[in-house]
Amino acid sequence: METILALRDLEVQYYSNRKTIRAVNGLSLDMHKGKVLGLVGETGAGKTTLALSILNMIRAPQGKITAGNIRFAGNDVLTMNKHELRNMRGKDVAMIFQDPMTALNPVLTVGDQIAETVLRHEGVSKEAAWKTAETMLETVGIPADRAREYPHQFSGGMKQRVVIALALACNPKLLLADEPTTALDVTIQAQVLDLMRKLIKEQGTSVLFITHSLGLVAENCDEVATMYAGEIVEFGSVKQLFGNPLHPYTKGLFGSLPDLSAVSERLKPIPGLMPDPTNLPSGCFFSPRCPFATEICHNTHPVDIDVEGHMVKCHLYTKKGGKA
Amino acid sequence: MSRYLMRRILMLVPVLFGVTFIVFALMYITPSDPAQMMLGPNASPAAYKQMRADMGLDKPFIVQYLQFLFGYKHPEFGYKGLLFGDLGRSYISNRNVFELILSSFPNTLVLAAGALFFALLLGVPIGIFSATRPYSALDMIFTVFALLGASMPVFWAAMVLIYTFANNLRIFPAMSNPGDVISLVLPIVTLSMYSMAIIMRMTRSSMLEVMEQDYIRTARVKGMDEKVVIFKHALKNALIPVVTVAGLQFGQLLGGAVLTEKIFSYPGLGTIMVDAIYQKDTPQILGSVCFVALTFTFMNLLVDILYGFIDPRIKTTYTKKKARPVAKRSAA
Repeated sequence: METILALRDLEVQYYSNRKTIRAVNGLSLDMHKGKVLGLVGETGAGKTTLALSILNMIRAPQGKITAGNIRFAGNDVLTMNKHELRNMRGKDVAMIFQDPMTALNPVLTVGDQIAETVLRHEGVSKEAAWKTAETMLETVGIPADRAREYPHQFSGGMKQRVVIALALACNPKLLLADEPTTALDVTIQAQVLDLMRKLIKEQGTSVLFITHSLGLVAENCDEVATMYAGEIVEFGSVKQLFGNPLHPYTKGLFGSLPDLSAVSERLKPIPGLMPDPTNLPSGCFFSPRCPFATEICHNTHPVDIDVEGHMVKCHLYTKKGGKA
Repeated sequence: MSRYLMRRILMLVPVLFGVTFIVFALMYITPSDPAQMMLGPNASPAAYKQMRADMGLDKPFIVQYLQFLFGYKHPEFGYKGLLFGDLGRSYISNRNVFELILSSFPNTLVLAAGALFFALLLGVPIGIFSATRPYSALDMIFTVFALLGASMPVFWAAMVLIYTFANNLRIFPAMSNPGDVISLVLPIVTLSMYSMAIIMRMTRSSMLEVMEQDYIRTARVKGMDEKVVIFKHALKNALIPVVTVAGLQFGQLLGGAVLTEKIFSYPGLGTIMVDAIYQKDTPQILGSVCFVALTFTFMNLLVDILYGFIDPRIKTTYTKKKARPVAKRSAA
């Protein structure tokens, strides 16, 4: 499998009121060409920060990528100059944001917003760029004559389709979809996902699909990574992770879903809260909430352990024949 | 659009009645007595009484207000009323009140337009610059200047400018008149300082707020150049509050260049108003104040119309929705 994106020991920090917020902590992750990787985790796990880092969009002075490296299609993203970065953004790597209501510029027509991206990256004429914009809108099921309308004239679901058209207008190699359906209601969600799936397949785009819905991951992804406190704690194929979740946190996530086959009054939530990113616990970041935590979990930070091609960051598997 | 305009213009009617009523009521309760003014201090009580009757001042307040609006018939003191654009003659100069106003208004307009132009020319670019480099050394310097500009009293700034540029350097004259462009520089600079400071700060804070919006992040993620992000994506969104402030400033400049005009002995509307007030020239005061209120109201209307050109969301609230065929859902 060809690796399109490789993150190694990535660290991202934000700064506010003299506090250091450790949003991403030594994260490593590989994305494979043409695959959809689901990234699941609670709010505040650092999912959006991770996506923005891939575009080198963490803006000083509020935040900074403090360590690690990011390789996209062999190129080091963190050493690119401004110009190279801008050429990459929107062209090779596109991003869909969570909230379509605020992601589009209210004073520019949707056609203009798509066309200017095409114009920026494809070196075509204004007319051709506008034509592409209209075609893209039709691809996502919006009549071309509405290209001259403004975002407020569209419904939420249509706006998100505009955002998708915008992201896919330049045939990106990698699409970062940051909770693309969270702000939409369930029926619209299904439409938007169907559309995304279809377009991704057609264009052969690799996708980082950020969500906190395990159901969406099962339906849409090839691989899954579980993120907790700025780390990937488990990584595997959808089959591996759903069939045999290893990390206590992933297990907890499944445990907090309603089980239709069992009669139970209450869900089983994971006790406690995400650790404070300004003051992460020593040892395993999940240890304060982990029902299986032992002495070593509280003192030593776990390393990645390979369990039959299924990566997990947990001390429980050290002794079970996994190699560190 | 034209329907919206009609509605807005119709809405001006009650506003203008309210404004004229307040102005008239204020003049009515001030202790100046036009009849006494006309006759001088040594008039006999009988002549005074006759004069009050002639001028229509012996009638109840509400009747006097209606006369003010609809006219008053009298061979000497009669006039057609505010609604017909006639408030009679000034007690002092004996010229028609509105003729005098209309002859001096263009002078004030030149001053106000010059000041606003100058304020926008510097205020908006500096505001944008400051917003793109917040808390930098230059931003701090501009902030200090804005603070100075906003807190310096006009008369003091005018005197400093006259002292420096007219008295010592002898570049610009201390007295201004509308025919001489060079002589307009000092009063325009004086007038624009406050507006410039306000516009600069408003542009800065508005831009700063807009730059934090999600759609700016979208534009950057699309790989747009920072210039495009600032001038195409951010500026248009940031302009609404700036236009509001600029409009209000212009309205104020039109009516309130009083101090500046006085200091530079400039024959504008402000000078006429002050002279009228000094001389208790009631028709002239009433006429000028109503005129200023009118221009101010129209200025606000103009600003509201401008909004529509900047922000399409505002435009749709007053353009009639076109019937549109139901959008086809694709098979996706």
